[in-house]
Amino acid sequence: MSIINYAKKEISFKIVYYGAGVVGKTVNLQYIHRTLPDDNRGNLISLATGDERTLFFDFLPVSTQSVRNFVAKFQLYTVPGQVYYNMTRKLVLRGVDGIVFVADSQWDRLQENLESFKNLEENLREYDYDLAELPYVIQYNKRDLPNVAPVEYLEFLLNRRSRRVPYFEAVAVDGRGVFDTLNTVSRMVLVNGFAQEQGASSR
Amino acid sequence: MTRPGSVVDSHRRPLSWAIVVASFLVYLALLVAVGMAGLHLDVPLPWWLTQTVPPLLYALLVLVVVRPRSATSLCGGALLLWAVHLLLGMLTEPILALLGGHGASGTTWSFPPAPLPELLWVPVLLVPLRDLLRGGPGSRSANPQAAASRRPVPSSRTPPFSAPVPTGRTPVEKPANASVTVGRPLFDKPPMAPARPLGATAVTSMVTSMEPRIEAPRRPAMAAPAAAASGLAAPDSDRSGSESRPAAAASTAAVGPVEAAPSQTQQLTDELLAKDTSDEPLRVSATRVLAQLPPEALAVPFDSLAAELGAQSFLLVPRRLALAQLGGGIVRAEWDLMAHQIPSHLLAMSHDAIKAGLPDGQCVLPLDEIVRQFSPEIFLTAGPAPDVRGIEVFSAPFQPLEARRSETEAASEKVLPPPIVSAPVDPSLPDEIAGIVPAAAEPAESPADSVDVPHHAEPVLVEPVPAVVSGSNVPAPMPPARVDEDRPEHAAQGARRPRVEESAPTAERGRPAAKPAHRASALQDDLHLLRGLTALLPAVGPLAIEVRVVGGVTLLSATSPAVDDDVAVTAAALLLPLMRPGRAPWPVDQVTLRGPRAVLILTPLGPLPAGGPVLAASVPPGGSVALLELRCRQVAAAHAARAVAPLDGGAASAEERDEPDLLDVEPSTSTREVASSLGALGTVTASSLRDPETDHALYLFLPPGSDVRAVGALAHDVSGVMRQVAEAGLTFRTAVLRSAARRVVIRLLAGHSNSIVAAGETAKPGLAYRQVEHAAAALGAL
Repeated sequence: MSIINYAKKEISFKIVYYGAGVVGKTVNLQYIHRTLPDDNRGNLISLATGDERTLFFDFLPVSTQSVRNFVAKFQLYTVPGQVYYNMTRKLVLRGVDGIVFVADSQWDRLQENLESFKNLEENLREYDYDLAELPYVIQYNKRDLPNVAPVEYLEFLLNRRSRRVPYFEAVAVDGRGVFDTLNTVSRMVLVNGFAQEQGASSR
Repeated sequence: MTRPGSVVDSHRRPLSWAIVVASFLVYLALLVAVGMAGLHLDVPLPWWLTQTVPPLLYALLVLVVVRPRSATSLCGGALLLWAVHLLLGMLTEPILALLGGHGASGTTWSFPPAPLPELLWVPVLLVPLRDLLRGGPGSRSANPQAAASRRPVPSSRTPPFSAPVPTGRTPVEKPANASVTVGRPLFDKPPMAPARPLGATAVTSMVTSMEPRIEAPRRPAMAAPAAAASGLAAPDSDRSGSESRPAAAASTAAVGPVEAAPSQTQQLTDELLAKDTSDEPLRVSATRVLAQLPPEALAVPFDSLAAELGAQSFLLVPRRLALAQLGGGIVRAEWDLMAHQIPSHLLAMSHDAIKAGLPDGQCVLPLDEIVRQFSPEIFLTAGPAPDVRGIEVFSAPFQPLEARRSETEAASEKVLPPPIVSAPVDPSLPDEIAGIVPAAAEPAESPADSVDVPHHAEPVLVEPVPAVVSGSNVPAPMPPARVDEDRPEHAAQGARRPRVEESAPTAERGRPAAKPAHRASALQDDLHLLRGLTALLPAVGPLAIEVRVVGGVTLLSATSPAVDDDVAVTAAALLLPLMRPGRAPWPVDQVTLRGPRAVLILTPLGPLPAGGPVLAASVPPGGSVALLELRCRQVAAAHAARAVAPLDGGAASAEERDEPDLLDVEPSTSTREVASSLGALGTVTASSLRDPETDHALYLFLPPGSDVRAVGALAHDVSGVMRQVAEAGLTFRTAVLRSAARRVVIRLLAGHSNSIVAAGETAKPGLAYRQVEHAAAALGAL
């Protein structure tokens, strides 16, 4: 969970981009890394295979200045989407503060999206996390492709829990929706983090 | 066959609570009967023993029946049952008195109560509370083994053919409007089938070990009405249980009642069914359905199928059958439902044969065509708006450069850092595992060099350590002297010589241009990934992956749970300065520290002055260490093949090296004799050095002409690192420094005061290692 360093006036959060294989999680991070100013970003570390599939995870530290006099630092991670790397996904989720669930909008990927979402729920449950409380957003990626499902149906599939969350249509390869997604989940994480901190300090 | 009711949690089943009530009545009746019979239930045991047994028994019952996921659940369940036990025990006598049981000796409460009678009933509470105690709603599906045990046994019969694997990335032509165009096929290939090969039963994606396994080919789920439609967004549904449900059953159940109390998602699906009350059948493209059949099942070529179908180019599907499955992201229908709609002259096989060849006798219907025949409004839930309360307090934290530029109307061009992508790996490499791709170039004057980045780099997968090795911080208990060794010239060099990955932006898989190749080789890719991961993690079990920054070098650590993570990282931190160009006489490709309980393998993937990264694998000793070393070097080679900057900085002169003052000592006769036993390293000559400060001796066996002092200085420092780490509790006895074919084996002798240093080029590193071990035994005994 979030780490607050009062001495340095820093607060750190962990955000994980989750989703099935090849839905564009790494592309999200690559675009963020490519377009963020130097003083907002660190090095993008990617352990991938030759065909650009994430083997372990991608890691990108980003920061923003002066959130309530704190420097807010976000560690962005992706997970390998292939089903057999569940242990890695589970490990990456440890201590997560916010999640971006990246879904592929194509018709033939809907079932994989659903499986990945269920896998996310199961893995979070291992850490006693609950999507009803954890800040997360959904990104419907690859909206520029011709064979995509309408957003209404995607919402019906993935965003119909008792607590609905923001969603974003995105074309990550072009950057469309990438920063909207990041900014929203970051703000939700900030709200949650400071609320928790205030609750802790009041006790 | 899984009943719909079986997906409901146990505490939500009325039957569970009915069992509890009925058993309680039986319990009371039993007590009354026992009382009337004049039997005494007191146990002739010490009171403390009778009060100890129940909680232990309940804990055992919770463990066996509930199989909780955590100790908290176990203790909580046992305590709950014990509390009920005590309460019931205290109430038993008053209740019996009220019932007029003869066994009631009085109406006063007794504490502690007698243990025996309550043991008969209290465990029944586990019937309704089982799922709750296991860890919350839907917890049964979270247990893959338990879930698997409840899944229907798949048919052992392999269908002779199955639905075609979808060309998932092939762009599918959109219909011109919501209705199906009649008379011509809409799609070249039906995209409605799942991404995996069909024909076998489904398995979950849960993998409980880092040991990769090949997943059985999955078959698309046959979504049953409520349960299946609840889909994966339903935490309390067990969709897998309905995967092999026949379509007929689904069709029947689609309009039938659901046994158990509906979950929230079931209610949503019910709402969906309620919203669309039309009975008008849906139309789906006949060609897309028939495309799932093998060519031999068709009497006409597939290309001419559309023409043959003529006006019969669509098939009718019951509307509610599709509605009930929409929540699962796939819609299937029995072949029998379609068969009579297809002109018989188009089929070369009997309907029974065709059905037998389809998974569960079902076809996958084109989901896109189906969804488009419904109004989008029916998918809109009546739930609350997205919950984003409070975010308005914070402004958007991140703005891309373009946005900032427009805001400031900056006209000057600023060169963006090139995109960072994982470029294709040299196919000549034995394993196409790309290395760790470092970040883009940091401009020399960029403040990012100074920077926040190391401070960001908290550990990744395990809990952050209090003191991340970064800059001047070294995890306790190791002294920070070596790690803090800042080399400004290196930092400056790194800033001047950033590595840049020049490549075009990565296209997402799934883009049209890449589709056929990716989809066609998906299975091969998966197997390749498995091989890659297996190669990296050979039989060492799960590893915790972390990213740290150590003295400006990114350290990617993969640590086995059997190894103390902090100490291993500390050892790596202490070794990193010794691996820098200029410190060792040669560029160091890899350093392996071996000990009785752990092996640490450090492999630079990039030049250390530029920040690395360095891969640090910490595993228990075993036969797979050599393989792990090899794979780490392959990763490094893959990375080096793409790196602009060279991996090493070349050899350094003696003036550049920070060497300790070592005294030459004449080697003893026994030391000279040992030299002849190190044949695997070629011809070596014996020499000795001694540290005057610590009185530690180095017995060196180096090829003739070697720089004895340089090698000795490096070995001295490496030995010092091993000694320091040993004080922290992790013992390493041998260090092997690899530089191409050259090996330097540094072996601490008994007492850790003296060391053997053997070096040379060898094609038999294993034999050389053993010979050094023998030499250590010989010299250590002196």
